[in-house]
Amino acid sequence: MLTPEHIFLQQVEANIGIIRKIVHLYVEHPDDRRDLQQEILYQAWKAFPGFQGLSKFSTWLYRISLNTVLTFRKRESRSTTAPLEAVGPDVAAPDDNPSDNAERLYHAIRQLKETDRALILLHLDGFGNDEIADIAGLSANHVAVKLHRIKTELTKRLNA
Amino acid sequence: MNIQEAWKSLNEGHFASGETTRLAVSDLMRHPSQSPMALLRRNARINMGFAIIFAILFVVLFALHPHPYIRICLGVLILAYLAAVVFTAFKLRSLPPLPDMSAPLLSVMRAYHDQLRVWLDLQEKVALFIYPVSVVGGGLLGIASEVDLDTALQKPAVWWILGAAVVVITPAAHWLARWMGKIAFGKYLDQIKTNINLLEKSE
Repeated sequence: MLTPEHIFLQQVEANIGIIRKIVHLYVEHPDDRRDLQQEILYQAWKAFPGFQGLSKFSTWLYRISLNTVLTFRKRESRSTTAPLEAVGPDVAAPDDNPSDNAERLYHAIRQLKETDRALILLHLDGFGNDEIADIAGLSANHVAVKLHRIKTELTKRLNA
Repeated sequence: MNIQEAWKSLNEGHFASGETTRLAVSDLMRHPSQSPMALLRRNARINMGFAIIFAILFVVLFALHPHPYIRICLGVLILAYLAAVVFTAFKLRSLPPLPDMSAPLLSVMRAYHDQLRVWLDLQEKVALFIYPVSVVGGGLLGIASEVDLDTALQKPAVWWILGAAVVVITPAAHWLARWMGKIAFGKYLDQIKTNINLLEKSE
């Protein structure tokens, strides 16, 4: 019989991409990334007894990861967001190569404000406005307005 | 550029790369949480431990120094340290548990911000009475180790100096505690406050 520990580890390993994605979008330094991933896993394990399966494990893990990242104290001596000048040319470079487009999108998202990054990340991963509203603690209308503004900002950055 | 396609490509490339980690819960538990609130609670317990050790030390000094003034000061010091321990323990117990990290983002950030604010206020209050009492107690012990305390206390200048030290130290201690809190957690508090405001802001 599977213990809660086994179930937790199986689920986390199947969804580790969520944690990796969030860590990459929020912190730059490898040590910060390691610390943040560790903290997310710790918080997930601590909260796991309260997971009743009312939502999908992946949705639950998104909540844990985003909450942890938004309350995580970044070390001041380390750069957490690539400065605009450093990524500017890559972001602006027009190219139809898919991997370059991915790279440009990555840098453009990283330049957004922390809360905007959380909302667009959920949107791009296919969550509906109601689900995003539930995760963020906002109304669906509020989320819709915010997403519209974030998408406009993102497009502007990508077409700059 | 098709954003959804670029995002898919990111998921398959950039985010898929990285070391494969063999997870173990025992490993997770070996590294205690680095969350600022968890750190503050841990530090509070360590400080309480130190305060108890100092209170025991003052009890030993109390037994070794028969002079009534020193005993009064040491008595006040012991009471002040124990009061700080009780006050901190009471606050620790009365703080609501931190919200589950699966709660909505806005409520988790608000809870972190409010609890951190309460904690920093508590430290400022404790500093307000611990440092002045320590200064007077330490001052009297210092004088007693150099000269005869009865003779020294007959000089009004000694009382003036002690009084002035308290008057200067009390606001200074309060300011120092506030400054240390700001240095340690100011940016973090601002970061959370900014995120709360951004999330709440209507466009």
